[in-house]
Amino acid sequence: MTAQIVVTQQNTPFGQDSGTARMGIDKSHHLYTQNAEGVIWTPSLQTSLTSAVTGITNSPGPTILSLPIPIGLIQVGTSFRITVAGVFTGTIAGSGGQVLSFYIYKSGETAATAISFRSASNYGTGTSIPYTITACVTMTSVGTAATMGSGFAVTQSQGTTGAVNSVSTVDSYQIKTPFNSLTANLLEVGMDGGINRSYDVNSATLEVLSP
Amino acid sequence: MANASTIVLVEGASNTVSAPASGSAALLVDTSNHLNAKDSSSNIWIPGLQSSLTAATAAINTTETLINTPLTIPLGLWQAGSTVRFTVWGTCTSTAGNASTFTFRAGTLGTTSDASVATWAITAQTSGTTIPFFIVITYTCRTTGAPGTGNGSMQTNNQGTTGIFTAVADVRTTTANTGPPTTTATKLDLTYVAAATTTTTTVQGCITELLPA
Repeated sequence: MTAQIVVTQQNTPFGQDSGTARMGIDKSHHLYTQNAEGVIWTPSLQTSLTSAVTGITNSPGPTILSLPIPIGLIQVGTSFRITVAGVFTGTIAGSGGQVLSFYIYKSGETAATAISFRSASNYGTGTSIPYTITACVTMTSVGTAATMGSGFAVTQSQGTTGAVNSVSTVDSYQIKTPFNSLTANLLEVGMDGGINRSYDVNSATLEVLSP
Repeated sequence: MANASTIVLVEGASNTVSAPASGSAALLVDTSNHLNAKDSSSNIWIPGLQSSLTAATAAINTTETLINTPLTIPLGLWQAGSTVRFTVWGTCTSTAGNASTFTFRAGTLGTTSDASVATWAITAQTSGTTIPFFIVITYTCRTTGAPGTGNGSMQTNNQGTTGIFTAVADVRTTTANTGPPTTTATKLDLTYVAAATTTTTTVQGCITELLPA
């Protein structure tokens, strides 16, 4: 076996040789390692919200997270995990909770929703009720019309008057749209509010998990 | 890792490669072709070790079935403090209150024949069709050995009170408790089985993550 380090500014994949592992720096200055099968290992590619986003009542709502990724990073088996935590205030109880949108698009082009998650549970009339959302989805194909598998989100709320009136619920995705995975892309997470309900986001994370 | 004044390039099993001298770090290609780093205190550093299920499973009931993409970890990485986290999402259809058992297995095969490390079981509801669930299992090694020891938990979230569980949320501790083998490169597996055909589960996704000590 040959131990080889390639330090170069090029897009992944770096090329592969049997029995070797490679390490390189791409044009976005991300550090990667790659094994002989071409599998790319990336150290903790993630981003976090650094200041709270408050009073989200509009739909579509604001972008709360943004993460540029290089060509070649999205592969079959690449997973994304989004976590959001904050507080909810409702003025009139209603059905159909928050929408968490995940966008993947080429920088400079119009954002297109790759997948969105909506809680189907009713929401309440509490004030500043803490909630958390965790959403996961995995790539099932790549290319100019790359597709994701079935993404799920779990929403948890303190008591029964907040973002969901059932303490906790699980929902599958609402919308899923193919996208081009063969370009350097921008990942974004958006959070929607709505009439009679407002969301504060106090913390949020987006993780890209290797295949 | 301490600031390294020298980087040494080596190859071999990550647990047998000698720690570099103080002030240095070693980059090594292990026997699984993974690139790791080892500091002068013999701590092993490795880029994110993860795997994901790339297609939904078939409907599973009484035949124990692998529900993750087995994650191969190099020799020496499973140490006291190492944690594996499985994030599982899918749907369940149930007409009887059968046990659903999730088993963390480890070994060289990456199949249901690998040794059981820990299990978690919940009882399904007597009704529910294609009910979404979301489960997070974590297991942390406390001591290595044959077997080692560890401890973990399973958090279940469910849509409503039917399907794979009878409530919207639940937490369980491990009901078996040994450590993966630490003398070979090891695959970390997660399996599912139901006690009867009247509880059937389809796993849509499963992320496996190894958090080094």
